[in-house]
Amino acid sequence: MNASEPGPRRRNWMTNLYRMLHLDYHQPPWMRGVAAAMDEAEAARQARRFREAGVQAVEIFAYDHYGQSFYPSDVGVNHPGRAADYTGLMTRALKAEGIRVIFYLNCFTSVHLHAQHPDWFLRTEDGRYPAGAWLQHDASHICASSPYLQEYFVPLLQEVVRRYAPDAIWLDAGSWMVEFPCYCDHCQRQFRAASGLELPRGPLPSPREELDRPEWLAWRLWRRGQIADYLRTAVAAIKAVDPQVLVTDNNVGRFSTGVPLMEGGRLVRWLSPAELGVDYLSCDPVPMGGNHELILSIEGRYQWTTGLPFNYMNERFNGWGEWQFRSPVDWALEAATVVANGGRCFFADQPYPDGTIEPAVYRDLAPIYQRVAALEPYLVDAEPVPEVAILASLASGQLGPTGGAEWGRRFALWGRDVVGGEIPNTGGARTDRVRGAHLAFLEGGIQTLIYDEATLRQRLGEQSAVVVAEQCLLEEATIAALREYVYHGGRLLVSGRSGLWDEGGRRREADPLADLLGLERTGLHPAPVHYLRMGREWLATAGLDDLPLQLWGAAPAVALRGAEPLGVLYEPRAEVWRDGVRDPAHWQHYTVFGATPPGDRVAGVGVARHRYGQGTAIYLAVDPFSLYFQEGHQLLRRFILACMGDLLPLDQRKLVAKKPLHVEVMLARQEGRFLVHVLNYFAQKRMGVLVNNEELTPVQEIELRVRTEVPPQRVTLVPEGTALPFFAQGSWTTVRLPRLDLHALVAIES
Amino acid sequence: MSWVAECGRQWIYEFHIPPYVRAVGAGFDAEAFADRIVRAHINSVVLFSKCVYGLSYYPTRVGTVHPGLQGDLFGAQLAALQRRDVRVWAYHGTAWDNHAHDANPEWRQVLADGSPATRIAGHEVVWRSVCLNSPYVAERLYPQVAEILERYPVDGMWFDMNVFMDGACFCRFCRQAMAVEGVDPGDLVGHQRFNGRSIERFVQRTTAFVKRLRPEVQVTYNNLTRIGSRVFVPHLDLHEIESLPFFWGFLYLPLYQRYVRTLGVPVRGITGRYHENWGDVGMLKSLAQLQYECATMLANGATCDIGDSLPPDASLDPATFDLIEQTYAWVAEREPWCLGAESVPHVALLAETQVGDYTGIGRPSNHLWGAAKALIEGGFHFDVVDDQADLTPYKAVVLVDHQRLAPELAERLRAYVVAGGRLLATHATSLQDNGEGPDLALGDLFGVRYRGRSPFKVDFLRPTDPRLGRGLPAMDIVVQGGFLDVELLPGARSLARARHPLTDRQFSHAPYAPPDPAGDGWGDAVVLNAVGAGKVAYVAAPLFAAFFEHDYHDHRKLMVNLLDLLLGDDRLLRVGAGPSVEVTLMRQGERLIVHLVNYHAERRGGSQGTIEEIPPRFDIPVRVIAPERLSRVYLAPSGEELAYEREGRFVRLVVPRLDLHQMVVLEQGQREEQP
Repeated sequence: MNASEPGPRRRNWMTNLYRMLHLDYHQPPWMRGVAAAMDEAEAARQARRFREAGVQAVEIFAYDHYGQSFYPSDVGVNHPGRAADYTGLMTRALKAEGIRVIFYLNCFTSVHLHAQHPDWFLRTEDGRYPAGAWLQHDASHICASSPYLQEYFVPLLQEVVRRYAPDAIWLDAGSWMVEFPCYCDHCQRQFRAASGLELPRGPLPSPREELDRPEWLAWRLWRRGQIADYLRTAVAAIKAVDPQVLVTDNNVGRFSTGVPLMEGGRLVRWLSPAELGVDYLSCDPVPMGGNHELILSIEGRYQWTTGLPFNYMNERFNGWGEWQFRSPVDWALEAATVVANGGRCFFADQPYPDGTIEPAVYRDLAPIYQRVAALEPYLVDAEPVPEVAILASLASGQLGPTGGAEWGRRFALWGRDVVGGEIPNTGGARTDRVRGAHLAFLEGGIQTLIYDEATLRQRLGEQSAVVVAEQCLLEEATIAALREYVYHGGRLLVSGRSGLWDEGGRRREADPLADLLGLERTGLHPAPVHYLRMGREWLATAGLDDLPLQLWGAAPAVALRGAEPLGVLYEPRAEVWRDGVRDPAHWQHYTVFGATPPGDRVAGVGVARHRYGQGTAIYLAVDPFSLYFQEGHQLLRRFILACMGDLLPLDQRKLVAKKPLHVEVMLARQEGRFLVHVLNYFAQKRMGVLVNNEELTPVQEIELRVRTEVPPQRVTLVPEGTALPFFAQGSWTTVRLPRLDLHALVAIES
Repeated sequence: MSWVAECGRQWIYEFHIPPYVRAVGAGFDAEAFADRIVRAHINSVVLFSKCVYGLSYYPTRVGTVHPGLQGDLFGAQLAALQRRDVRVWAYHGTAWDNHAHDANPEWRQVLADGSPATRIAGHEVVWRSVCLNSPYVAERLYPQVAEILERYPVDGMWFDMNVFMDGACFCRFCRQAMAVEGVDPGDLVGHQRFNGRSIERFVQRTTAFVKRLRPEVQVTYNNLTRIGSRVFVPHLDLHEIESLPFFWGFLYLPLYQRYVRTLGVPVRGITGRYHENWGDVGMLKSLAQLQYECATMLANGATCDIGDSLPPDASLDPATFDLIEQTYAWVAEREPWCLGAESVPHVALLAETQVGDYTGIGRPSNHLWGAAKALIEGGFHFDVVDDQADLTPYKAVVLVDHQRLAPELAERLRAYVVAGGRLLATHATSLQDNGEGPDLALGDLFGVRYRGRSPFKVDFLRPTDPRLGRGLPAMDIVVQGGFLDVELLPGARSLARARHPLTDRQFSHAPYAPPDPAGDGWGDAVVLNAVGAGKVAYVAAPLFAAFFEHDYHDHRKLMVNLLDLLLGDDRLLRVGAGPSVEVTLMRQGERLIVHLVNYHAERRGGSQGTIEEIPPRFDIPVRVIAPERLSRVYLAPSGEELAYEREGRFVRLVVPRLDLHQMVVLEQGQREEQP
């Protein structure tokens, strides 16, 4: 097997564990009586309560983000107000109850070490020592280039593993704390040695400019490459003491947190999560109180393809330290979403400073974990069924332009009244394109998984269709594999500037997808917004109205080289350009939003279809996926789904669901059966960013059609065991789900 | 009813066409335009006579014709529509007028630093304003209005942008007027009050001007919406509430409709066909979204107005009109049970008059947002009232941090409670300093004496009375914002204790520290007091603002429990449908109508939640206090008869299915009730 390709599914004790708990216990250095209520009896009480609530593994604090230990450390700084060996007491009590123990240790922050080791700390360009992570203390952000890791953190890790023999280590403020500009002596020396360059001076270029700034590009790759070094060092240190201890790092291994492997300042490749050295993937609930049902779904649909076991936190409250709790309906829906998407539950609570916990939390958690436990026979060794692959290039998630409106648009949403300044960067995150594709396909009931490039190359043969949603940076090997895939009958949907740069951010001289797409991207149209008009025949087939579809964002100019045009982009009205000059400086604002209506002039091809070998590729000039994620317009989703309908008609799919948009469906397989998870959703009205599911309206009569190839023996609702009526015809099995409350799991036994 | 109240399916389009656009109205087909409008069930239209660029769409002799205009677009549209019995308003921009601003520097609205009040987008100063206290009104605006009224048989004048762009204007004319009134321009609140009065005077003058020329012409002004807009009512024939949910928020319309409907003037809600905001062409709302917004209007006693945007040639977009046609057909089916209906007084949310925002959008305090949200989600039927309202018809009054409580209002509240009214008040309501230190003017009603403020920015409360704690976790519940420290007066009863956090220092990455476990708390957080024949509940915490800002469901449950405790069996309407169904109770002649409006948002990414499909709800129990004799109980518009049970004053029934909107009609009459 090529070293750059991911390995088979990793198995360890985490593989079959689905119910975990995180106890968040950062204590400010001035707090007294820390763990004062903790003794053998209290620890035993808590452990018993956790077991009774169905918890199988508990993460407890060994070392917090202030840089303080909760056990009597000989290596690290002890919490000044610690009244008991919290880590030791809890470890013994949990083990006595048969509960796995995970230790939390925070890596790159400390409020204590600056006085002794100022050179370990991040330094800004103007010589200041900033605060790290959530801390309010200056000089608390430790630089990954410094000797801190070897001289302080490695001995600390080894001490805690040696002393308490935990089952796993969960590292926080590690990978996500590395990529900050730092001008410390270590950074200056190491960057010079790696690249031959001096550290670039601020400010950081915007995403639109980044790829044209080689010094910043070199710095970003070099800095991000330190994540792999840090992980290698930390994992090796832990395994050296006990190879059985599992290790993970908060946030690493997501499609939005790609890590490059660098050698001598040169990019070797972007690392798939399985190559990072961690034993499983885990993430805290970011953003706190955000739309977890979407986040848990998209993260799961990626991490399930990586071969590693993974969990994802959901939290008791809207934010850490709220000391309240959200509706348990929210918790339950989040747990169901996690397991439906291949993950493991990791519920986050926060003890009081004296170490005690709020009993009411576990009263409400218990039935949720009871339900998860009942589902476990249908989760263990289940594999998702591949159908539509969304490519999440790790390079494109880190480098290059963002999608959506890049300039010219006035956002006037509540709390986001951003009026354009010079040329505002109004685009969202680079990964919005993947998120938009996921959201549209989830709503459309399309079975979707997300792959990084290396994994997709291995799994291309299993895909019914592949979506490359403006992945600007692509590896040559991926392009070649896609070409091969389509040539042999594959279906491909590509948008925007995909592949115009290589994985290191270097602009390719020629359009690398030209032969595959049957067209060549020759430049960018000048306008920030265009209107797409599809051909009447296509619209009729797709069942869409003939309405000019507003598309904000970069629009490549296209020269056809064999592709069939399906739709054209209209320019906005010509008068919008002052003095007829087509550049941002001469763009005039139009009424409220800046959405100048369509003019008469065709800018160029908007959508084209190309038969390549035995397969088909459809190209969308303006990426609609990021725009859909950012603005949520129904017409965009209908257009996206119609394109997918053109590429992969319903009768050629593995799963077709007749369901409301908000219901999520996931098709998985176990030995001898198909499993269809069906998830409800209900967001309460709100003014701010919080999403609360406090009540769920039952949904009646969902119809699921699964390509089972052979008629099933029986179809049941599990774990309840209720038989469901089904109808088998040809290779299809059709099941009617009479009522969906929060989550339903349909088992189709063959 | 006037035609304004009867013609409840209005269409307004945006037509602010930048001066650089040519061929405006080119090839316009007035007959096709009007035919399509009629087919869409529209019976009232707002046509552009002058946009906020200051450009007219007819051959004006006293204004500035759009340089790209071809023909008399306004006149052609008007004539074609009136031939089809569609009512027509003339849209006329007032204070936003780029042309007048550029040509007459002395008329400009001016900021404190002497620069003109403008709005910038991209590289450009796009919007420019003139002052409503300047000669612009008499010398430029009124001649234009007179010209329209003389030359065109319009049914109404629809004035927009009647605002001070930045809330306070420092132009020469404002300064002169402030000097006469003794207002210090540097006193922001006083200055903003002055500009508020300036708008009142402008509205009064302008309506009088129109009526003097054409008494039958109806007059309305967009965006006079704020608590306190009662002052405008004598000069309005219609109150328009502009509210596109993705800009104003989903709460704006229900909150302000519940206020404006108490003022005795027809109310219209304006939304748009756009996904986000005005002029977002190339985008279209879903049918469910648009119907949901119209249902909210109808359920709250308003009629409907759908906003659109026309391209420079003023042609109609076919897909947009298909959407409007479907929506208005749906509205028309419901109108027989909605037009002319009035809210049944039950709970009054008494709001402070808003001061200081004359920029076009009234923004309530977070206390008021939170209270309205909690009451809607709690399933209460309520009105929002101002301090001039007659409280006697209401069973309960809710006061949210109402500090500027006038002595006259305090006395009325006292009399209201003594006579049997129920009062729920929070936090700093009536906290005033009359020279002898701060005190709660209504402390005797609340059953407490003010001692001071908690030193903490948050505190916790724990219910000690099971009625207050019903459905809540047995734990300390945080209320962000800091409590008042109050002492219980004899006879009053504590329902919850207050507890401090462990510390007020920054606690880890938490916003505040956990509750101090020592003791049983430092004071009383919720107090119940009997006064005369009435009852008062007082919450020493800013419960509603906390609910709005943090969306914590237990804050709502506290409010529901407390209001239920106060109302007891006098709760007029109880619907078992969960927090996302908005309920109202309206009276139309001899019938009562219970409205249920169902909400269901799609998953979202970075955008606001949108409505596209609403899963039906089934078997929703309803209990309503109803007249003794009912001739019929049925669903509207379907006409399906509903079985019901009598239980004393209550009627109990079950709504079999709720899709987007459902009306339960209780017809009062002499027929015998069903056995």
